[in-house]
Amino acid sequence: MNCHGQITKGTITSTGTAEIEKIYAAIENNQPIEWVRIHNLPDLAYFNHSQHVAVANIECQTCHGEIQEMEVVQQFSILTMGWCIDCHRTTEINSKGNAYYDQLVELHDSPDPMTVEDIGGLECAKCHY
Amino acid sequence: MSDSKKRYWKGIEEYKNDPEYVKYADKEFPEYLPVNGNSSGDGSSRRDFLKLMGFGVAAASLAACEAPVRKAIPYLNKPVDVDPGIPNYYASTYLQGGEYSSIVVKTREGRPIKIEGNNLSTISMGGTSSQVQASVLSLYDKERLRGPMKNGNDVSWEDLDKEVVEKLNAITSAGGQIRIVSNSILSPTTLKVIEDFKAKFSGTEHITYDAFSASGILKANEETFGVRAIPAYDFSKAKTVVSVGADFLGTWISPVEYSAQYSKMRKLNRNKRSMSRHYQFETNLSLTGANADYRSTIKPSEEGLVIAGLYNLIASKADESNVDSSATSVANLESAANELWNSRGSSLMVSGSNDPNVQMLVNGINSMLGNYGTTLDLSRPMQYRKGDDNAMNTFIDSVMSGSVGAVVFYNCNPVYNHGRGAELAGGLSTTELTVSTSDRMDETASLAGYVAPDHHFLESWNDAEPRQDYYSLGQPTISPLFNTRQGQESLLSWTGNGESYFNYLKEYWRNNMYMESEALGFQYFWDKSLQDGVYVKVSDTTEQSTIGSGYDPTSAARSVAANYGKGSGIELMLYQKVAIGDGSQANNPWLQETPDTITKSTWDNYITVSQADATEAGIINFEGKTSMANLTVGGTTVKVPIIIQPGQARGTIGLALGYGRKNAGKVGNNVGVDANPFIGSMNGHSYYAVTSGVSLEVLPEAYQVAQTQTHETYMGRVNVVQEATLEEYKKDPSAGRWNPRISTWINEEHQLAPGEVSLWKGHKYPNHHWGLIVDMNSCTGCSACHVACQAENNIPVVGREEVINRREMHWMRIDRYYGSDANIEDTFQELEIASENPEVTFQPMMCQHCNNASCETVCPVAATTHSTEGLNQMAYNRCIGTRYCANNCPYKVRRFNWFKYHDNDQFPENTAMNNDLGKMVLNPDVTVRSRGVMEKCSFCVQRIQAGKVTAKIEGRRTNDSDITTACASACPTDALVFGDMNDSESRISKILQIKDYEGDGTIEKKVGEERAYTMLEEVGTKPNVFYLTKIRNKDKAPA
Repeated sequence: MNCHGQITKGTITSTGTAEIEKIYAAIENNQPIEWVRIHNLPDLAYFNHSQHVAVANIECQTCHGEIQEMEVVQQFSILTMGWCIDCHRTTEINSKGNAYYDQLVELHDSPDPMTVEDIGGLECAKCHY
Repeated sequence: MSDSKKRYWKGIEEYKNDPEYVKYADKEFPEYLPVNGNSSGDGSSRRDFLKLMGFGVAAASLAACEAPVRKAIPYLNKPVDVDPGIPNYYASTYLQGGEYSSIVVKTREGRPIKIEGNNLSTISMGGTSSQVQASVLSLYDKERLRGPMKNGNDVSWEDLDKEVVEKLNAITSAGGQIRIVSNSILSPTTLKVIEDFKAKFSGTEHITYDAFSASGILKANEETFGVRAIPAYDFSKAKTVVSVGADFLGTWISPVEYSAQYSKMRKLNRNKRSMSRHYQFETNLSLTGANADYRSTIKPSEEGLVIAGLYNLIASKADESNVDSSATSVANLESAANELWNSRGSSLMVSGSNDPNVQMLVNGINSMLGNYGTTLDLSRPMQYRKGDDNAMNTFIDSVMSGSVGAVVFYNCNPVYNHGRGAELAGGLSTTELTVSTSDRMDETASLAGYVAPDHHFLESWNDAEPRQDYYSLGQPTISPLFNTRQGQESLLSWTGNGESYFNYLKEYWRNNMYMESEALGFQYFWDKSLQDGVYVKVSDTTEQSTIGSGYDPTSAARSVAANYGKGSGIELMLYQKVAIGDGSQANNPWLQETPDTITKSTWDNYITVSQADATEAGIINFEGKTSMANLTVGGTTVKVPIIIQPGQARGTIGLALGYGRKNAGKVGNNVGVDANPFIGSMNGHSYYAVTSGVSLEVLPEAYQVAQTQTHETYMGRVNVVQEATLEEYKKDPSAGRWNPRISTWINEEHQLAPGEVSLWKGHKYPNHHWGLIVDMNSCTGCSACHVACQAENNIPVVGREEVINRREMHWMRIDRYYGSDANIEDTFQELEIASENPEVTFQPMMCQHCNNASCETVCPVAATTHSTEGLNQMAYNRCIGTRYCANNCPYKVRRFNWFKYHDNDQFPENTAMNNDLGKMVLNPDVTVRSRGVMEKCSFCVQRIQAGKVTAKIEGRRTNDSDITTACASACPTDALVFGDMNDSESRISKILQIKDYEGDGTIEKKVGEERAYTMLEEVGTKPNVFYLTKIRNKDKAPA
């Protein structure tokens, strides 16, 4: 249940709101909730959240929109390869304080900021293997 | 090198320059391939194509209207340590009979998907074998039993227990005999369970046998030293190694451990310019023989005499009395004796013989050489083999006579893998109670009344003591897939002990391994041992055993003289293959399709004959196409194909055990012929040769063995193997290297290295620059890397027919070259002389990740491109399958998906992709490729990416411990070293002595190591894989 146990607002039933009720039902029936998956990437593409969140410090909302406001989750970005690449072309690397990038920053000889593209972020085998 | 007198050949057809061979040599695939079967002209026409095209477009537009709904189903209760997408690693122990390896198991979402070596183990030292690597697929074998069985029908565990206990009690109270039969058990706790069983049921005896027995060594050591054990051999201290018939790098006792030790003495670098010298005397060309500096062929019938001769040569030097021996003349025997004597105290003599008299002479030789305490250690001996042939024979006799009431076959299959299996099978029908704990209805279990299937080792708790005081723990990495039960728990429950084996094991460790002196208490000790997987008990060093009164070389030699004598007829030498071993994993398609280390054959066993004998019998081999023959031994005849094997002793034939299974499962059944019935007996010990009564009749029937050896050739380019002798190397570290130069336009004299001129601008590698070293001096050709690659990268198995069509999919191959003098006069005899005893070189070959890659230039759709990290990338979804890249690759390392190998019931052998259970082994980080695309080695880019993210999250650069490829991590000899050539601290940079210099607008790298060369340097592809020259410790220059 984790945080969901604290929910008291909404239509109260014996165990909480209507949506929370689903979680109780799942536990009782020993049957996990089947969520409809909104964000689908094809199997041929590998995507790693930690690279984007933990390393690049990108906000959830950048790709998922105002996800905290969505009662029913909707797809915000189109998640096509062109969309990925556009972002990699324009996004500056979050290299501050990360020793991994020091050498790359030093070698980057352009007045423009160092983007993902500049360090090989458009190469096939960064996502396809 | 350009004026080398040496000639390299991959197969006899290549050596002979057979016109048929030459015709097809430059073709990637043979022309005789069946193409779709519609060449008759009534195939699909252009009109059909247009019709289909029309339908295709309509169907595609209809399908595009709605996106498929995909469900995300989370864990109801998420296990604490499982995070989707993040692998967990558990230390465990591989045990298969007496085979042992300390391992680390990689699991994803609770499924074991890959096995790595455990670097903390001082026994297996992080190495693995092909069998260890493949064992993860055996876990998902759908032929495993789903639950307990009674007379072939399902039964509940309760009923089975009740009936078995009733019968055991009845037999015991009637004073009947009970036997537990097993292979060598390395687990001290399991042995305790068996003791409990014996205490409960008084008539019980525990019989141990081994599929490939070392009973003779145990007997000899018992008589000589009073210790019934195998000494701890240490090849890393042996300056001279002499082996008579022991394939210690391939199959003998503990090959992973010995390979790791042996390679330490074979490695060369700036600071270590010496290496061991290795003599091998053997019948079949084994993996060990292929690595030897000097190899001599002997017949099995003279094996004992060779050792007696060696004993006398050493004895004369040691002023000991000679033993009686009829002389036998074998090349190199005297120089072997001289070398052993000169390096006494740090030399090692081993023999694969199972005759205790022969082994006693071996003990005598090592003792005279003063090797005990250095290269052999009996104070803490090895426990890999405990089998007692005499006890097993007595057991079979008593089953035949009906005097045994109950037999429990504990994870063993003697009906198949014991020489007297057929007799045993006959006797079992009258035995009152027979129980097997096999994981499948194998040859023995199918005859047993009850089958209480054991877990797979990845589902089990276990422990092992491979060497005295060296312990190892095994933990489950997945919940049991089926209704099976831990074998030890079955035994315990029959004794009335309802405790779980886990508790039993932990208590045993508390009472026996844990020492009160450990400050942090038992729980800490247990957790630490479990985490490390290994634990070495610090105990007082025990005294080295001394020779006792039982040691009598004179009478041993007398018995040897009586039993051996060079025969004149055909002699059969049985052997095990590195990948298949005793055949217990015969149902594992990865192992069946692993090319044999020497013959490069898959999916078969066969008779190996020498070229001279083949010429006499009129046998011709061409790319695996051969004849069948009837092999008759003492009244038993089997029909089996013939392979001409260079290096086979004249007048002998070899045949591999581990094949011809009848009840292994769909993949392994009826592959090859069963050679176990040919195992004989000498002085009551199993004897793996037949020296008389062997006849061979060549049949007119043609057959093709699926050999990979002459596929993917280099078009006669001679410099792929670059080698030198140790003497040459000491004088000049670049000895054997070939430095091609090309002329330029500047003037007639001006020449450059091929890499220095280029049409391309070169690449910049600002971040990483991945590279791989292949040290041909430490590579033994064992194929562990090959299977590791298959497991890591979801490589399909294609089956025998497709291998014959040259469509094997393995991303890496281990090229095996024979080398011989090219200047022998060109007579009819030439081939025979060249084949008699060639030098062998192993060369692992994978994508070379060229800086100037010829594949990248020809791809019309840019599906294969270069990365800024030096990788040659392959985007499967961009590939349209023109195969231009494969045609243009000078290394022939690209593989084309001719079929959809997954979810296709035409490839039932490809179990990892064709049933739901098998698919659990697939690596979720690697795409399963579909039909019509090209694929090849990616340098395990998924591991590179994972290692980089780890480093980035921790805010640091990557280092060697973050990233390595599957092949390099599997290698027991550290012959493969992967790393970042931009990192001056990486091992690869240090070994290659990489120095940066400013090139034409780019930072170029200069390799300082003189032994390093790139493959086909003259082509100018500038690979990122570097080979280190092969150095042989020979007195003369290579032939």
